[in-house]
Amino acid sequence: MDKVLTETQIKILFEQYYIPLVEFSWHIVKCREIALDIVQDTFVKMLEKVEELPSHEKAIKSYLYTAVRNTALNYIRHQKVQDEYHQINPLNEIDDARILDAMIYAETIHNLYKAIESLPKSCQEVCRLTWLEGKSNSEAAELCGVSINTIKTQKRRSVELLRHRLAPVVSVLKSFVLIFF
Amino acid sequence: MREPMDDEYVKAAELVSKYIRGDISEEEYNELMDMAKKYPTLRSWIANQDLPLEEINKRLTDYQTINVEKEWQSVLEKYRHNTNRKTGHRTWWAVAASVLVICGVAGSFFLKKQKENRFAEKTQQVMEVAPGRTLATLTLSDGTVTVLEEEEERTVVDGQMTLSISGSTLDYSTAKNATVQHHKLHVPLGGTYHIQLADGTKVWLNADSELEFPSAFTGDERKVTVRGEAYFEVAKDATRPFRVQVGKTQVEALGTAFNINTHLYREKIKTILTEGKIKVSTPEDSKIIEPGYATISGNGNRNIEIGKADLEEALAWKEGYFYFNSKRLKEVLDDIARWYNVELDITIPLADKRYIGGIKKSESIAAVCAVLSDLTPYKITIVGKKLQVRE
Repeated sequence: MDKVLTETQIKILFEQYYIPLVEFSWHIVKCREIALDIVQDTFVKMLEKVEELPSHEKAIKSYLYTAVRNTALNYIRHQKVQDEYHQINPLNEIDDARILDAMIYAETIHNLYKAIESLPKSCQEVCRLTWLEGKSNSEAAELCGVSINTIKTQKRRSVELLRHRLAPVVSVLKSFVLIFF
Repeated sequence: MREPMDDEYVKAAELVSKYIRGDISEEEYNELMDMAKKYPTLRSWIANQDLPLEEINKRLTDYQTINVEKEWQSVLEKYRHNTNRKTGHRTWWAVAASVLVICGVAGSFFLKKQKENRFAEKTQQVMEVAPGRTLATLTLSDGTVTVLEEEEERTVVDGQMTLSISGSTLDYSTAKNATVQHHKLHVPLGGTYHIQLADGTKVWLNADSELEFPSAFTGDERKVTVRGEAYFEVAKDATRPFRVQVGKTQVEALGTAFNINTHLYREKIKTILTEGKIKVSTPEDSKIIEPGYATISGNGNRNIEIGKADLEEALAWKEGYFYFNSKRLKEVLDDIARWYNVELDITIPLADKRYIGGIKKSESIAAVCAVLSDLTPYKITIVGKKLQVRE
């Protein structure tokens, strides 16, 4: 069942799992740059590996989570040695529960991210500007070089699409929409 | 590295995420409730559907700005920098592996056969380019330069110290030192040399390399300076660390064996550890590595990089082999030019392919050219003191 993956196959996994793995890693190390590095290093190791990786989709996913967790925990252990005198990292209680929480965040972020990514490009841009960067409709209109009405239409369309993709709508999405508008 | 727990964790995380989204099936819901008995943390997720939205929103905003394609490029960059990278393409790896068999294992036989057959005539005209011999120069404290030839038995005197030379080894461990002298061993293009320092540490120097060292070690450290490529087998002495200065990088060891190479990368220093433990330091960074790992330090790099090492790379040259693990053709040719002391004459751009293999250094350059011409799409010949690479 196991096989050696090609660079292209690894790239596909990277595109698919990079964001959730960064989120997962962030919950362990609590630093954006280090979280990015840890996931990248994990993929560098995969590229270097001539030995086999699991080929099954589900097995690959847990392989990736495990690899990132191990790299992150190694980093923390190393960090602890360096920070012996400064207890700046409240990382003593990395227990299984926290790993599981991190995974739940990662999966949730993954779904939201995928939903936004799957919107048409113009809607994505409007989403990014108005929802995520807190720009007003008129600011977004100026940045996109379109009229305010276009922005409003794009926003409405995005909400409908997101609602459809993340449906059935639950309280979470409702609060999301509330936050966004 | 993998624990069975992780499969279950991923499953649990997926189920909670589905539950939050509201598209969980009854069967999945029951499964989740079973898991919640085992993992109490799940219960708080199920009980409290209100996610810390502001927090999630903040990070999601950030993730939207990440260019995944660009991040992948930096993964590839890191991978290419890494010393132990096998190759980018698995298909090429298969080809390379067979090259290893041909050149590495059956190398000598294969090369001989080539020589006897179609290259018999050519070798005649090019024999004047001999493979490198064991040969070096030793600069004494007063600036006197002594030439060390192959297979010679004699002694060198510096002040009150008498050194013995035997075969291709210079031995300081048996010399009687009245005073500490500063010596420099230089190995030119086309040579290699072996030296035993006063403390019993053995050092192999590759072609175009230099070692500066004291004739005796006094004080609380043993310190030498190196340029080029050298392999160290450090004599154990827990009280006096052995330190090697290479440019701005310092390698510290306590009874250990490692290889240092500055020839490989532009301005970069690669240190491969084969035994024991070493600490590699630069003015900005410091790393401790275990056997089987290598560091890359030097100009332009603030941080010392660590990667898995290929021990063959560290050991092959001192056993009399060129060894290249996934080196570009240009790097292989550079090594060969250094050993045979010839100039490279390349007029065409070389493909970015990588090669794995070994060539016995005692072979004639004509035989080496013949093998390389066979393995690469180029015509590689020796004309006078020039190694020509043509389409």
